[in-house]
Amino acid sequence: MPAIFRDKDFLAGCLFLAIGLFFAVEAPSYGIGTARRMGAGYFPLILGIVLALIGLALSARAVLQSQPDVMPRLFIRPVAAITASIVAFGFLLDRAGLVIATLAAVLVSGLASEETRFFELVLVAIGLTVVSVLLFVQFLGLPIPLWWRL
Amino acid sequence: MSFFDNIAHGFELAFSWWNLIYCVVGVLVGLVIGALPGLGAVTAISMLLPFTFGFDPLSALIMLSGIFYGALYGGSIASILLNLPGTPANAVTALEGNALAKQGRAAMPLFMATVSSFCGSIIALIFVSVAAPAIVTVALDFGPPEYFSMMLLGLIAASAVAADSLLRSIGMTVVGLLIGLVGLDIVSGMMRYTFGVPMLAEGISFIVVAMALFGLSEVISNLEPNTRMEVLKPKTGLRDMLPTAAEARRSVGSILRGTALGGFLGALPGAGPTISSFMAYTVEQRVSRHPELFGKGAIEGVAGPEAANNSAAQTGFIPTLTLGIPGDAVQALILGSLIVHGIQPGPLVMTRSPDLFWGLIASMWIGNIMILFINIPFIGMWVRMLSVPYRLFYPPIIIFLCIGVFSVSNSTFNLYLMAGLGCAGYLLTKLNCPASPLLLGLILGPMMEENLRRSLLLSRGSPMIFIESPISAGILVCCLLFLIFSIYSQIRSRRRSRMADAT
Repeated sequence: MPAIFRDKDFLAGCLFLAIGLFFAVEAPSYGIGTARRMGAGYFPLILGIVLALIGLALSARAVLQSQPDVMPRLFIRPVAAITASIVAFGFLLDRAGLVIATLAAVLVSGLASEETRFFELVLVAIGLTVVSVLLFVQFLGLPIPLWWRL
Repeated sequence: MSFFDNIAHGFELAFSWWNLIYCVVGVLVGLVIGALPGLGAVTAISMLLPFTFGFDPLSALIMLSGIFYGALYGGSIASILLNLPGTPANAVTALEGNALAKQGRAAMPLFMATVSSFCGSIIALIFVSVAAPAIVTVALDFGPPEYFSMMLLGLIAASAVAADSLLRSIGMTVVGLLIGLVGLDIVSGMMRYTFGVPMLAEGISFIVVAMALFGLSEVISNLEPNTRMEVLKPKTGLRDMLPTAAEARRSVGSILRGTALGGFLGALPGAGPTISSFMAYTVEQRVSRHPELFGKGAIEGVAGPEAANNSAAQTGFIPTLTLGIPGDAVQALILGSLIVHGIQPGPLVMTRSPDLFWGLIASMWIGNIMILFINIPFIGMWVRMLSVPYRLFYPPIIIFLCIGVFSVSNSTFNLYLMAGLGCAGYLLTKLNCPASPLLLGLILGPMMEENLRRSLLLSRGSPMIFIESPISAGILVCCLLFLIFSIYSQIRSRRRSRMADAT
C-alpha cells in the first residue's frame, strides 16, 4: 500500500470530504429556500460544502507534501472489547436488568487489557454491581430495571 | 441591588445544606478524576452530567463547576508524581514539578501547586464578580447579527488557538455543527438526517458525544499496551511540603503573573486553562533571573502555570454566563447543562436569574477554600491512590458511562450510539483531529443557525447586516485577525521545522 493511504492529513481530509458531501447531497431534499427565508436545507448545504472543501485542501496538501506523516497503529483489542462491553450492557439492560448487565459488561471489558486477572475482575464486577444498584437505583432513584420483567 | 448585597445573597444560597454537599461531592470527584492521568475535567463532567438533571439548576451548576476546578487541582498531582498530565491544563506543570519529585522533593511542588491554584482562583473570582455584570450591560444590546458573529468568533478562536493544524480543527468544528443539525428543525418542522430513526428526532445529545469522545476514546487510548507509568512515592510530612524561603519569595511574583495572564486569556473565547498554563510557563522562563534552573526543578515553573490555569478556569465562566458563548469544551458542557435545565443562555441569565450567577460565584469561593483544606492534608492519600493499577480503574468508568448515557433519555439507543462514536473518536485521535472544537460546534450549531436565519430575515436576505452593525463588524474583524494570525504562525513554525530538517 502506498504510504499516502496511511498519511494522517490525507485520511483526515478524506473523512471530512466524505462527511461534507454526505450532508451536502442530502440537504436539498429538506428544501433550500432563499437567504431571506431559509429552508431546512440551507445551513447544512453551506456547512457540507465548506467541510468538503476543507477536506479537499487537507488531502491535497498531504499529496503535495514530500514526506507522509504516517498514522500511528490502531489497537483493535481495546476497541473491540470496550465496544462489546457497552453493547452487552445495552442489550442485557432491557432484557435482563441492571444486575446482570453490569456483571456482563465488566467481565467483557476485562478482555481489553492484557493485565486483567480473572479473580480480581470478578470481585470488581460484584463490587460495582452492588455500588451501582445502591447508588443509582436506591439513592438517586433512576428508573432502571434491576431484574428482568416477566 | 448593590454588589455586596448580591455577594451576600449568593453566599446565603451556596451555604444551604444541599448546595454545600453538591459542592463537596463535585470537588472530590473532580480531584480524584483529575488526578487520574488521561481523564480530565471534560470526562468527569460529561460522566456526571446526566445525574444532575434532577437537581435544581443552581445545584447542578455548583456541582459541575466544582468538578471542573477540582480536576485542575487534582491534575497537578499526576503531573508531578507520574510525569503524565492529569488534565491537559496541567501538562506543563510536569516539567518542573516532576524534576523536583525526582530529587525526592515531590511534596513541595504538590503543596505549591495547591497554594498557587488557590491564589489564582480567588483573585480571578473577584475579577469575575466585577467584570461579568459590566459585560452584561453591553451585551444586552446584542441582536441576532451580533450573536451570530460572536459565536463565529468563539468557534474560530477555539479552532485557531487550540490545535496545531487549523484546517483540522475548523473541519472538526464544522462536523460538530453538522451533527448539531440532526433532528427536528423547529422552524420548518422538518426531520433532518434522521433517516426514519425515531430516536434521532430529538437530535444527538451533546452528552452522548462528550462521553464518547472524551470518556470512551480516552479509556481505549489508555488501554493500549505499553502505557505503563511509574509512581514516585515521596515523603509527605509537613516539613517536606514547605518551600525554602528563597523559593517562596520567587513564587509570589510567579503566582501574580500567572493569575493575571490566566485571568486575561481565560476570559477570551478559545484560550482556556491549557493555553494559559503554557503561556505562563514561557513567561516565567523569560523573566526569571535564573533561567538555567528551568528543567531542573524551578518552582516558578509550577507556581506560575498552576495559578494561570485556575485563574483562566474561573474567568472562563464570564463569556459563558454573560454572552452564552462557551470558550472551551468544559464551558460548552456547562452551557449545555444550562440549556437542559431550560435556561436560555445569554445576557438575560444574570438579570432573570441572578441567584444562579451569584450563588455559583459564592460556591466557587467556598469550593476553593475547601480544596485547600482537603488537598494539603491528604497529599499522602493521593499518592497511594495513584499506585492503584489502571486495570481496576477502567471497568467502573465504563459502567458509569453506560448508566449515565442510558439515563439521558432512558433508552439503550444512546448506548449503541456512544459505542459507535467512541470508536470514531479513537480513530480521530489517531488522525490528530481534536475533539473539543467538535463539541463546541455541536452545542453552538442550533443557536448559530437560528441567529443566522433571524439576521437574514431582518435584512431581507442581505448578508451586509453583519457588517453594517458596528459591534458585529468589529467582531468579524477579530475573527479575521485570529485566522490570519494562526495561518501566519503555522507557516512560520513549518518553515522553522523545515530549516531544522535541512541542517
